Amino acid sequence: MAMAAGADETLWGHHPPPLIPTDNALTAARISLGQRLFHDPALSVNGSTSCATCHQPERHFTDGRPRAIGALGDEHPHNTPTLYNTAYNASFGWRDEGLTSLESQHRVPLFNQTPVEMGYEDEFAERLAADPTYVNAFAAAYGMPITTARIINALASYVRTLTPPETAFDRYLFYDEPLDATARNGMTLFFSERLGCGSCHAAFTLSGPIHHGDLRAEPVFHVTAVGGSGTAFRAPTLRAVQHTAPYMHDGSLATLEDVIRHYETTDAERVPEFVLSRTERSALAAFLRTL
Amino acid sequence: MRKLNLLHIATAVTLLTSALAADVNAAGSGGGSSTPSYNTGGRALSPEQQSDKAFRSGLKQRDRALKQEEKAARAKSEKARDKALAKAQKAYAKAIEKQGEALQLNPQNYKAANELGFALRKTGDYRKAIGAYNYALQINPSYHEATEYRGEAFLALGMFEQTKRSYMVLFREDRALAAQLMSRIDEWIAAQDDALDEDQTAFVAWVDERKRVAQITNDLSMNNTRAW
Repeated sequence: MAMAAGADETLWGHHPPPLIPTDNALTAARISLGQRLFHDPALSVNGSTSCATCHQPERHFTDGRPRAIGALGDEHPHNTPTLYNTAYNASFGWRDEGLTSLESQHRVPLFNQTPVEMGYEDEFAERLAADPTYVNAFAAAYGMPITTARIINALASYVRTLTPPETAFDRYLFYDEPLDATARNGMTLFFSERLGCGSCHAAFTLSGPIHHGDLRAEPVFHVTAVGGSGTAFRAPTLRAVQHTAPYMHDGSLATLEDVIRHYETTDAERVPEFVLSRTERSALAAFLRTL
Repeated sequence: MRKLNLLHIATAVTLLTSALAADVNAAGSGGGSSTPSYNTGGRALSPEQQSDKAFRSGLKQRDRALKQEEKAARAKSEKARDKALAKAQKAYAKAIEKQGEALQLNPQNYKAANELGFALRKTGDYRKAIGAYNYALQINPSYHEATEYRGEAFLALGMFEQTKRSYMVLFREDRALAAQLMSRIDEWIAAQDDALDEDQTAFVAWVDERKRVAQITNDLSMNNTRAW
């Protein structure tokens, strides 16, 4: 898919504009339509579930559950990740190397059958066509008729604009505002070679590989050994991480302290020196809470 | 000719006076424009073209001054050094004249304002230099080169808070220029012979902290090119 730089840079605040597919240029009408669709349970098999059911804006686009529950009550094997900074990802989902566009990623929650997430079917587009306000919105954003591809494009347009709120760390790093001394010590630990947190949770997104401007990075996946899993997962953004508990791909760790202890006790070869004093542990957690 | 030169300088001073009254901390992000070349085919130059011509003439004077400064640094005798520095100051004075002329012809020529600031700073007129940089940044808030130069002028005047703010703008928008300003700050610190006063000590502590932050958050810039 051909990609172009973002047109309206103000949409992303202090972030650089992400890459945008040339066949789904970003417009105000598309973002607005996508936001409405994002909250509409009419896209689910039984009218019970919208994207926002799991990606709740008031919970920083997570749901507070260890693992997501689909429209038919199926438990998803993975934790609901925040959607902040998704537009920059080099890959999508927790471990799907082939998902390299936001548009293709949206097919997963809509069509996934194992487990059923939304339970969407192409015919559902006709439900929307019965609503004159949707007809007008689609006509303005993409033209008619209303199709699954256009629904997906609108959803992706909205999600592409989601960036985290400015935090204490941003204000310290970029605006020289004071940051608590404990958190500053935690920052030093986070970016140290000894712990290496910042090696995977990197760039302004504090995440795995991203794309923007001329930067093109290949997807990278790491074995975290959470729950004894040998599967490799994408490093998610740590922006707003204090608000997105529980943690890890399976939501099995309830607190940031649990995550730190996991890396202290795991036998993963990637972080052999991840051993902390009580003071250091508190400092690292304090820093994570500023992100 | 003498009258004309004075007129140009007077115009520049007027521009600077208004710029100095403006917010000295205004700054922004990204940008710039290339210098055009043109064949007028015998027609009269437009004010913009005349401004650009004066601007480029000013640049030649600046380069001449910089060469004399290099020569002074290599000079084997004090007399030779003083002679080269005097020539440099003379060239900077001409650069001020030319950039003032460029601004008079085209008040939107922010690059001329920036170069006017550079030459004024090099002649030790830091306050007017800051006014010229302010003026350049009013026209083009994204012209970070002026923010960096203005930071150096603030530093020379001991205006530490303004120097810090200049650095932070560059840290957000252009890490290379932020590093350049930090190098100038390091040079300034190294050149302090006397014991530091309270403000200077606090500034040096801030510099140490920001250098550490810049080093450990190296790939957190808004325009990073990190590879995983």
